[in-house]
Amino acid sequence: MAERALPTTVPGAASEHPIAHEHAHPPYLRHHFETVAQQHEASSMGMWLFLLTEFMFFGGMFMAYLVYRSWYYPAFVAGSHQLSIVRGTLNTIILLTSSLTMGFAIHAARARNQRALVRNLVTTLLLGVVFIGIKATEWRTEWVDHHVPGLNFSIDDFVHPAAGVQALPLDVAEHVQVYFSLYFAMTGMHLLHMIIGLGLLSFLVFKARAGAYTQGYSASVEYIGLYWHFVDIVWTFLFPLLYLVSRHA
Amino acid sequence: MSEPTKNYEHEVVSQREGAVPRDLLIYAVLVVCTLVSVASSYLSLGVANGIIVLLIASVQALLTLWFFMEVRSSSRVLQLSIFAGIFTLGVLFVMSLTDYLSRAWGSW
Repeated sequence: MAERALPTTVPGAASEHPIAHEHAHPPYLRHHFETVAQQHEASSMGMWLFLLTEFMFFGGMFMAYLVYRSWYYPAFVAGSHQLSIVRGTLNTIILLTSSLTMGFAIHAARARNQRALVRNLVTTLLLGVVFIGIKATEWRTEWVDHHVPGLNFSIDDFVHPAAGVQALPLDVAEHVQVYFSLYFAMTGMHLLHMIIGLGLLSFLVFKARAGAYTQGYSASVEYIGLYWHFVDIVWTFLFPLLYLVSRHA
Repeated sequence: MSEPTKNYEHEVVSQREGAVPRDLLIYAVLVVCTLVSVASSYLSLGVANGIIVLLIASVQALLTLWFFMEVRSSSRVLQLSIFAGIFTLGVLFVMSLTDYLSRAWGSW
């Protein structure tokens, strides 16, 4: 084997790329991109690939839900009817509204309007906090009613229900635990994503107040906006699947 | 349709035009869809109940993707990547459900 020649320049040294810094570019353009548009396109692709893995992650849980729902449908109807339709609908509208204000924040950043950017980011953040608050009251109700599998689940509500409600056979009542296991797993994972989203929004507010994102490049607001909308889409499916199971029955 | 080589500033300006009224309209449609979905679950429609609420949720997701997440103004390669990911998810759902629902799994 021929002996390899030793390099004559030190990698990364200025002499290696003598023309690298001869052209002027905005501070937000990274060295390895030629144009801002190219940088934006590449980072958008990265964010979307991440979101697609998230779609797959939640897809597995939705798949499990659909299979168990098809097997134990009467138990899923009984479990679903324990949830508050008012609080579920209210939370859905709150999350949709937060998606709207997140969109407004992106428009404000593009228009280089710092005040509107901060205002819309804070509104989105507050709506997220309200969503989590309402969700917490729902979880508390499930705890008080003994609907938490593995911790305090009781089949009494289903085997000996209140007057006017049809009692479930013992085996069907036991299967209601499957519904609530999936309910807590899916809403819990959604809640975790909401909390991460609130952390990201707080970071954006902090940076936006210091003048970031309104200097001509608002990509970070766009990407966290994409994440927030994704969390909204997950809830768009969770709500009908968990709350709206044959409400007429 | 924007391309990667297009000027970023120009792209940003074109995305801002008419964006707020459009977003308000989409938001109104999403809220109405939610209320229709809730109302439909109180009608006795048998198997169609579940199908209707899932179809409405799919419309809401598509509107959010297309307008709020700005897939409509993304580059072709990005649109194709997103479509490929969601299509693959659909294939996984259809094939898994075909297997589970066409056999005696869960009949014990």
